[in-house]
Amino acid sequence: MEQVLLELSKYAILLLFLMFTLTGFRAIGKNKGRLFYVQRVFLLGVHFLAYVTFFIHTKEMKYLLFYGVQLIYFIAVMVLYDVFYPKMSKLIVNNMCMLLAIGFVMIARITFDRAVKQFVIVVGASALGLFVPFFIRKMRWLSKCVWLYAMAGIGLLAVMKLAGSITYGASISFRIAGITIQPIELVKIIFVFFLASFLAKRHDLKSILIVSAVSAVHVLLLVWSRELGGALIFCVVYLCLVYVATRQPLYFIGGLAGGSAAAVVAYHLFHHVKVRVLTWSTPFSVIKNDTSQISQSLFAIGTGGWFGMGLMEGMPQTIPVASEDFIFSAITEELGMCFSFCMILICLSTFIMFINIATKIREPFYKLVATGLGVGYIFQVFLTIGGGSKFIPLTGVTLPLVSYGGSSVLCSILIFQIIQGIYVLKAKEDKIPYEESEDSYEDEEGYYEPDEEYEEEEYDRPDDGYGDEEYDGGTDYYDEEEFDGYDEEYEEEDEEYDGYAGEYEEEDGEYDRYAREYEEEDREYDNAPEEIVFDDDFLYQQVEERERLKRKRAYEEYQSQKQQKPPKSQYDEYAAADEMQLHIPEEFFDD
Amino acid sequence: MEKQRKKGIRSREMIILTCLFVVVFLGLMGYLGYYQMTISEDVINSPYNRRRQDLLAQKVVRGKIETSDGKVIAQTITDTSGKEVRSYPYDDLFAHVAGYSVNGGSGLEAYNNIRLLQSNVLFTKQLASNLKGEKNVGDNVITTLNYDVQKAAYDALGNNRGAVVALEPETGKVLGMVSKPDFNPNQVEELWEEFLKDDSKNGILVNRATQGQYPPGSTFKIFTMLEYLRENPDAKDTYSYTCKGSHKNSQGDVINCYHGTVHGKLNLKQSFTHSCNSSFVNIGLNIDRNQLKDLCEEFGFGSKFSIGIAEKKSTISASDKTSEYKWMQTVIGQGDTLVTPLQMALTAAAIANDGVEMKPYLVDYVENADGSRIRTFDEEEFATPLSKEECALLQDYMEETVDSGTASALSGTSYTAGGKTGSAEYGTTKGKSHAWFVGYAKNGDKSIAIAVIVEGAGSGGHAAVPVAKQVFDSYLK
Repeated sequence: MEQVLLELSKYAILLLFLMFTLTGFRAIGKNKGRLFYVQRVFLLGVHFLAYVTFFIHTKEMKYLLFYGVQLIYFIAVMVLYDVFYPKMSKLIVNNMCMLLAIGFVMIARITFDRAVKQFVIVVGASALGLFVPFFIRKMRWLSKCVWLYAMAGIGLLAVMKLAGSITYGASISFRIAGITIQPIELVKIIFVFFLASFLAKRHDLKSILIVSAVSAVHVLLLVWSRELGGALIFCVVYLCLVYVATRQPLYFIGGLAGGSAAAVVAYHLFHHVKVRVLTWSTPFSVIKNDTSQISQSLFAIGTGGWFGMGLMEGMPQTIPVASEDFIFSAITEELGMCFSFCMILICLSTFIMFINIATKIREPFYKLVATGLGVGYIFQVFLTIGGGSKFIPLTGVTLPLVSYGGSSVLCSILIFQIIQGIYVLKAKEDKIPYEESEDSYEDEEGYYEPDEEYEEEEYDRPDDGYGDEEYDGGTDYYDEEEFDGYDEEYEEEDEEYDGYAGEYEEEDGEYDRYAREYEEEDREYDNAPEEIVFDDDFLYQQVEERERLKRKRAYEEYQSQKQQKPPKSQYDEYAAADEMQLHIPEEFFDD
Repeated sequence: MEKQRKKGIRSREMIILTCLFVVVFLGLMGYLGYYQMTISEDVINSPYNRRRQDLLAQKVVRGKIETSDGKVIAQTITDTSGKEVRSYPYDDLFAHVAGYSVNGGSGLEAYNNIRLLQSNVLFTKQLASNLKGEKNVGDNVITTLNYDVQKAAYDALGNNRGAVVALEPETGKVLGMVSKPDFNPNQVEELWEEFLKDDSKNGILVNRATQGQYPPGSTFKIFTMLEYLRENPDAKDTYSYTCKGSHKNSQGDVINCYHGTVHGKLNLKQSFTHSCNSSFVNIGLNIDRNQLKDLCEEFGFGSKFSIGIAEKKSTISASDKTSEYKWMQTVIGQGDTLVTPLQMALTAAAIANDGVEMKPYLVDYVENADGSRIRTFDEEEFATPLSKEECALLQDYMEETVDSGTASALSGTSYTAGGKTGSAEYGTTKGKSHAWFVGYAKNGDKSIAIAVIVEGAGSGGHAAVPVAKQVFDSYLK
């Protein structure tokens, strides 16, 4: 009887998890409807069955008690987050809870006490995370502390190197009052904020050089601390953000080439790196030493097969650091490769959601923050899964939210909540009336706006062009910023122009005039005031005013088109492209 | 229009980035799937993964090991008390090659542990038996071994110590593999302590066929002569040497012919067929040492064949620093050279197979409990150490050795046979030698290559050739 139950629950877990994943993909880009509640049922089902399995195997009450506490936690998170931030992406909340649940299951499977410890940290982090979106909204100055971020990041890394204790070949942690802290997790976030705040305002060649130098200091400190995984993540985040900010694929490709060259140098320079690569290429030849990690991991994955050994029936405890760096292998051993595929897809859908949010946000700073955190997240997932399965050399990073590790899980929750905060911010700014959601028609300011089809154009420019005076050291920047302002509109010329980066200086003046002319035209077109003072509130009023006018115009245009010849207009294609149903409340224009 | 264009530009980079990561993850998942489907079996089969293999054993009834002609070598049966036991119906016959599954395991049992412990019956069937609380039935391993060859070799060796390896030259399939003294795998658990004692005294647990390292004796002359021919292509017609029963070099070191026989005037072919030590020392002093070493390495010296059970490498030490006396011993197969019977059988197989040495293998295919094939192992080339002309010459010389030379015990059969005998002196006592025979036989399209070593039995012609004959007779009858 027990055997039957165990066997059934093994497949039921897989089935529920599969349903969760598929529902998640159906829900990408939406934030409404029943789907998310159904998804939560799947989530709680997986979690419940896993703990039932534990109980059947061990007959220990502690598993049931622990389950109960966790259940309360999950329900609290879902309810509280829903109540406080109805605009928050429910898909991300669900994915976060699912990954945390997998972590609680697997860590409890390997070492029960650690799971309890992890749970306490997660509860604290989630409570903290509840306030993050609020702070994101209130702390508009976040985009201005460029050098503060740089100093904090480098400072923390330096302290980590100097005071750090050696863990598994990398000096990544230090202890304060009995608590081991891994500052690198926090520095990841700070670093993204640095890059975003810097690149949001300027991304000419000179700025790129500055930002590269600062990034290089971060990376070198990490390599010096022998924290290779972290160094790689920083490199990739830096490359991606520079690419997104400058729109120059050359930077990206050049950066990749430079990074590869640096990797070759590192291979010859550092014994530590060499060992990792050798372990990767010949895992079984030196099984007694470093490789036992990776070979045990491969044994675990292979023995697990597609459907897994079943919870409590494998031996993930034989993998060194199973609950941290090799949690993926432990999961695959007991729950199977099918389950792991679903988990990878959940991570991927989370990333897609992050980027989805980033594309919708208007302010370059938040756009870049969301992109940077998203890229850092998914790349870390790639490093840990690829490393544990010998797809790439092992770098020893954790699987965010799933792996054991206080600093890791705390910062992962923070990352999720920062992006949620940005999403909420955007929703607030847009005041998009979401279909089917009751609260969408009333807003704090008591004013309604149509859907976001209208909102995105021309918005970046004022920020881009004018946001910088206070930190602009000299006139050099000014020209370049003008240039930024116009690059939205004149992308093609822009690219051509960039090709001549070297000759830029000479043509500067002429080009500048050219740029300014267009900018003026631009403004006229927008009916926006000529002067925009750098002041957040004022700026937003201006912008909102302008947006309203534009929407009104577009709406009128739409109405007239509709009267002439219903759908099939260019406008509709545009709307369809956004996958949002056009929904304009008439009463909007009455106020 | 303008709006649309800008919109596209706005998020283009991010869409590219997203696509990039999606592609990278698809690659990762593709790799994981590929790992799970093809690589993982060999990985988890590793002896270092013993703990997890034992875990699987609790859930699966270990599969059978069978010969190519359907005889069951090893199977799991339930005894009268309801306990599962591993049974070996032919007792000692397949002892070393099949090995045992307990006490750390050995032989095919150990090297195919995962294959035997994985059940590839239909998923629904597995699910059904899981739900019923029954064990799944593991896959069966079908070997390349031929029962008749194995039996003939086993009987022919009798109570002698030694080993026999028989191969199919065209494919590298191992037809028979016997090592003596042996043990009864059915008793491994109950008599383990005694087995261990016996092993430290007589090496009963060592598979001499793949792990025994012996001086090759005169069988090594195949390599010496081949090297000489490569350096002197005309030698087969022009070589001449007068044997006085011994050969003395300039420093006064002397090598005698076996039993001091005086062979008289010899050409190359006669030197080979009569296995004249003096003539071969003369040849050996005129060849390049490093080139001889390279030639041996082409045949597989210094490497493992990955046959699929424990094996040792054959070794040759040859360099310019080797003293001349040592070198004189090396070229006639004494000295520091050590070979495994497997290496010598492969050498004979390469000669019989027009110079192509096939990689030896023991497992033909794996089938699930219902008899459908799960995985078939294909033949692979190991190397091509010989040209067709060299092969023709060697075959001619080796067949002459059977007709009129040291292996004449094999003459007058219905099939064509060729070979080279050897009497390898070992230890410090003069006159004690292992009997070697390395050769092949063909009958129509059936062929077989063999290496026989009978420890301490004297001359190859008397002790080893008759063993080979019985094996040939049983296979080619």
